[in-house]
Amino acid sequence: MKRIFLLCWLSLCLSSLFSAGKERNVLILSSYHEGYLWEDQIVQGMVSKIEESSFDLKIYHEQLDVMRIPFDKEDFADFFKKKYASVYFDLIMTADDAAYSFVKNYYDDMFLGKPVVFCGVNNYSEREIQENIMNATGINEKINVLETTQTLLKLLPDTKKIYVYGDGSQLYQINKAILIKDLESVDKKIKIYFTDSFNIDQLCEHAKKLDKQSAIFIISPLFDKYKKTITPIQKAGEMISKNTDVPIISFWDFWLGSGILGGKLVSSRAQGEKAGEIAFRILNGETTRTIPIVTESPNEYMFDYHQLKKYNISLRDLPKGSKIINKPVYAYQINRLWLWFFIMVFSVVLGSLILVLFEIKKRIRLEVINKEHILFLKTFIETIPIPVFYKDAENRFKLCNLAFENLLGIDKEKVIGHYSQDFQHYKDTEKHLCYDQKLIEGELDAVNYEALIIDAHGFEKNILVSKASVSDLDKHITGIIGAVQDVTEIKRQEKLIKHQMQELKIKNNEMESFIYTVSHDLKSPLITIKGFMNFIERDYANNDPEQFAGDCKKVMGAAEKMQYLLEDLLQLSRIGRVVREPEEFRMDEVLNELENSLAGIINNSNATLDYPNAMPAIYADKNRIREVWQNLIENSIKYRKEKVSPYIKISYEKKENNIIYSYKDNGIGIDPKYHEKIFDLFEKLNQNTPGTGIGLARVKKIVELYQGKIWVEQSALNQGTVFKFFFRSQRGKK
Amino acid sequence: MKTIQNEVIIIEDNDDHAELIVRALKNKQPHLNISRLNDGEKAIDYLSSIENNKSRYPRMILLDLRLPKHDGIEVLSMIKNSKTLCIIPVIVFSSSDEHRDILNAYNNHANSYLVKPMDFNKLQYSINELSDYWLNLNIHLYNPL
Repeated sequence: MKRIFLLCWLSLCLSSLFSAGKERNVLILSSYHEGYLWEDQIVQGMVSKIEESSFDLKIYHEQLDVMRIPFDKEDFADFFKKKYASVYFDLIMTADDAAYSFVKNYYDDMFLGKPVVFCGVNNYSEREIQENIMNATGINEKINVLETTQTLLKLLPDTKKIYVYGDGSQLYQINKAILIKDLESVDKKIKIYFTDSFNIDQLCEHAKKLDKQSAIFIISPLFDKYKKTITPIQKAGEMISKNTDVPIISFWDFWLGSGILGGKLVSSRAQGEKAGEIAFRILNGETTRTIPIVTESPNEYMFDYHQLKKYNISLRDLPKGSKIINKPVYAYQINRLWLWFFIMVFSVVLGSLILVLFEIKKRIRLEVINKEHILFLKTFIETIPIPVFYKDAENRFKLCNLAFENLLGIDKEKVIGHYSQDFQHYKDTEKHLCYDQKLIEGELDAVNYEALIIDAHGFEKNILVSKASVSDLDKHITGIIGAVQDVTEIKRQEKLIKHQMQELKIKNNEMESFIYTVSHDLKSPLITIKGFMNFIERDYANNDPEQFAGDCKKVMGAAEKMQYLLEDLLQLSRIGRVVREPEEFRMDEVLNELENSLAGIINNSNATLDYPNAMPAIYADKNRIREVWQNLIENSIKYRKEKVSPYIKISYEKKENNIIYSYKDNGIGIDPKYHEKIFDLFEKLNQNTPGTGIGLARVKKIVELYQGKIWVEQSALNQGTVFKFFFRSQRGKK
Repeated sequence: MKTIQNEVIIIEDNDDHAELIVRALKNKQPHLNISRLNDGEKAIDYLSSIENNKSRYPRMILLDLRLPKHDGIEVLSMIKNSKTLCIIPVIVFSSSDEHRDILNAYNNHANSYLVKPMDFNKLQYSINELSDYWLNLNIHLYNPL
């Protein structure tokens, strides 16, 4: 029986032990209400820590709601006793003064022997706490008035006045006392003003009027005009902040975010967590005696970023380890993974960017080189005196140089963007287009051809065009590059040489025929002389003096003829070879001189010379010109009609740039058949007249020497003759 | 036929040369009837006038190349291009010994080409030889017997 009882007791003890090891009831009694941030954070801090314990926790949370509802301790105690009559609490936790006060008052009645962990208690000294509840420990909430004020003065050194705002309550009075005491050490120049019993409206009005050197220190919750504490408490902070330009400080973190700058603030969450840690230790078996009361509540320097900005306070000036709310959120704080991901992406992007930058740098360098090349080419193209151009595949001019502009005499602007056919300058547009097409179609790679253009001065120019097709790297023909060479001079020279060659050939032929003629005509008297000399020998042998004399006469005649021939030939050869200085003279002067020098034959033949008085002046070799007239006049007298006095009429007419002289006589005339022949050397139509047949050949040669021409205008047998001739004055006619 | 049998025409502008030739011809054949024309025009006119009258054809023509108005080659070609006149032997007679002149003369069907020699004896000899040949040949032409 005894053994059974023992077993039962053991099992009971074990079960109770088991159950005691498994389940713990914790009462959290808070002073205010749900939604009151301060208290909510304390409770959350507490719960977060005690939940870490391995026990099966049952947390009971009761709120006294002293701020909103008039509080009757007795009623609440009755209600509480009834409500939790069957609950055994292993631990009591209190938040703030009212809760602690309640537990203290009813400890013996309701919570006797239970461990109590408190926080947010600032109404009681450490000694008082110890005296009142033996089995209690926790956190003494200490406000940091001095640190907060000093921080303000350091951050805003211009501050000279501090206005203390509060509701005049007991809390206010306590804090005011602490403040006065703490601020004794602060510079005496800083004035402190108290607004003990102002309601919120009065405070707002007051705050409006504060100058720049002021600051506001809120040390308690505030009340409205009905003396009712404003809830939520932060609302009061917001209202004052809205009405003032001066910084607001406090020592409670619940004010933060509602318009206050900050300071060394009592942190509700930190206090709650600290209390939670103590509770955790007690739940794990420690006693309140072994855990000392935390006298310095875990306060932190905390500031509102918006307010710091408002007062231009740099984050660097803040005390070390300061917490800042409303700070722009950084990626690192959002998510490490994301951060790393972004870092990776950023690195890749950065890497690519650097590569791209390198590439860009390279490109820029290339571009610079390219630009320099282009500039070089541009200068080169502009400078070379050869006209150069470039046309695109549509045959539009894209580029040309100064020489090209000068060649056509049109500005670059009028060339670029135009087509070949737009230019009036091209005489062979068809030719150009034909070659261009062949180049663009790839039929030809390069081409050289000659063409005609009208240049800037309106002159026709021969050009040699050299063109080649230009291709891109894909071998698509993109345009035509061309250079133009002015070959006008070369062409002219070529033509001149050709002409001169021809002339030379003619002269050569003339010379040949001249020599031929001369040699045979000179032979002719020789034949006569030698032939008759044979006879003279015979005549002498035959003693025939009559025949002898006749033959001698013939020999003499031939010798004489030969003499004349040689003299005339010499004269002829002098034309063009012996050059006398040209002079300016009037044609009638020459004729006048001739009239005098030929007076003998003119008078003998009773000839008349009729010529105008004032003939134009010319510039030439006067003697040669005189020879022309002299030969013509002598011929007219020589070939006069029998029994008719020669009448010579000289006139002139201006035609184009030449003066055409007309020489007319009334002699025997010349058969039209021989109009050309009479100018040949030794050509005599009548063998019975004196002379060698050189006269007209000489006239012709002189006229031709002056790039002129002589011809028989009109003549028939017995009709008289009209010679016409012109020659170019050696210099411009005056 | 008889009357003209001995006619020889000399076409020569130079009087002295003409006289020399006449003397050379007459030396051997004093009975020759020698006519002279002193320029190309007269020669062509005369020959045209007898073209259709064979009885008046000369036995031989001595033709100088350098003649006034129409030169010897023109006269020669006129004779040799005529269907009738072409039978008359033409001895071209020139002071030129140039190859082209000789060739030109023969190309125009001259019967002989004689370079006027400086020495009269040579002239005489050449003329005699040539006239002998051509005059005799001519006799056969007219007298086939």
